[in-house]
Amino acid sequence: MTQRTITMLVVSILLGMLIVSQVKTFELINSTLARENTDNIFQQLKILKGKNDALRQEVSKLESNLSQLFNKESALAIVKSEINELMKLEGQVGVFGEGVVITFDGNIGSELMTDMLNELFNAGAQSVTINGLRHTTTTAGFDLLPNRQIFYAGQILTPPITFAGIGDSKKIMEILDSQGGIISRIKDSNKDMAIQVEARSVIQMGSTTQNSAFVD
Amino acid sequence: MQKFKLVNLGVGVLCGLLISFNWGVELPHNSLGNEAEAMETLLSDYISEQVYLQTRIEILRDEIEDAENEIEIQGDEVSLSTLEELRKDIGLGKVSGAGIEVVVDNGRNVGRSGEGMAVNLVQASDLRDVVNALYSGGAEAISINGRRLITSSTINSVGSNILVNGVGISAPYNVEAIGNIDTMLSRIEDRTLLASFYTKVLNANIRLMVEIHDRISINEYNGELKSDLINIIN
Repeated sequence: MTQRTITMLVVSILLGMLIVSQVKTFELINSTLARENTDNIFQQLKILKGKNDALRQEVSKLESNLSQLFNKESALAIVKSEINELMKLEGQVGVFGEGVVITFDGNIGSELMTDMLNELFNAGAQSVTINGLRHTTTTAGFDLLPNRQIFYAGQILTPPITFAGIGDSKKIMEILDSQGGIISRIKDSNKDMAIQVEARSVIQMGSTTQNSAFVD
Repeated sequence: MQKFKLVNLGVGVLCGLLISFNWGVELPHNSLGNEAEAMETLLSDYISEQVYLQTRIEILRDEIEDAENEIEIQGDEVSLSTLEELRKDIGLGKVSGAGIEVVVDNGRNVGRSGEGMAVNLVQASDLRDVVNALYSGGAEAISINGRRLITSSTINSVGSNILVNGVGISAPYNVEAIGNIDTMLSRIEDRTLLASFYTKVLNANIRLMVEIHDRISINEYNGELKSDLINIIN
């Protein structure tokens, strides 16, 4: 083997290593950034400001509740309203309200399912269903089956995958559909998938033991 | 001979280009430069206010519970034990039990700002994946750096910060979960369920440590509960 051949071999190996390293780096950066909304810090700050407003409202509500607990009659009403609120949030009763429905005509995987759910609550959804199954403390967690199907709330989720969220539909739509928002990021990583986002005047959700439906 | 020299030259130039390209690449990170620095100040103000408001909420909820217990309300439609049970289910009560602690930390030699590289930072999505894996393993209560999660909790990146329930936390991230240790461990060790996460762990971009504990205590949720747009179907 001549010196020239050895040089060529070393250079070729180096070249191969550089190409692989570069591809790996870009893949990692893309996969990392595809899941974070780095484009719109203003939108995120707006959401954060909204959260502070919500916390202030919660303080006012609790202060008002506390002031009414020193009279037995009003205390009864407060406790009843607290029970109703917690039952709504815990999925123990059927509920309805305006909101948003997002439909993915395919499987987006457990990671993007987790991101989608996070963004729905981040945008102000107060109650969420996935393929009609109410999201509560007892149903949380997307599991992955060996054939890459998503297992959620004791059921296999088959496409289309539908997220429904009750909340201020205008605000939720604005945040989900913004530039660099979750919908555009999911579209970027699933170019052939049809994704539909629509506001609904009424979304109906069953309790954790009932099925849910969407009614306009 | 001439052809060989040309091939050598071509390969050399290509090598040079790739090396320069690799060195020249400014890896994207969460900071958006000067604008982001101004935003960081604003963010810091929001976060300080949140800490105060959440502490106030915690105190008020305790006072309400005490006042309700003193009145001894009992009726057909309302019962304090039902309320207590619901509060516990939602995450409004402190809980303890056996569980696991998952510590996720940034990779070595990395800064959160300036030239810090996104690939070596723990991202909000990494924590969301860990939390999802724990829930799918049957976790009954989860906290991150002491912040209790509930069903509607969010984990987000804002600027160079990670916010849990809207409050900024910093690395290392201690995710504590109470529940069935074996099933939670099996999900945390599942490299298919946590594919992106383990790619980063195996590349040493981020660090992972898992510990089993006989007893973990998790505080109550101290954020807002919003249900004003949800109506009960009669």
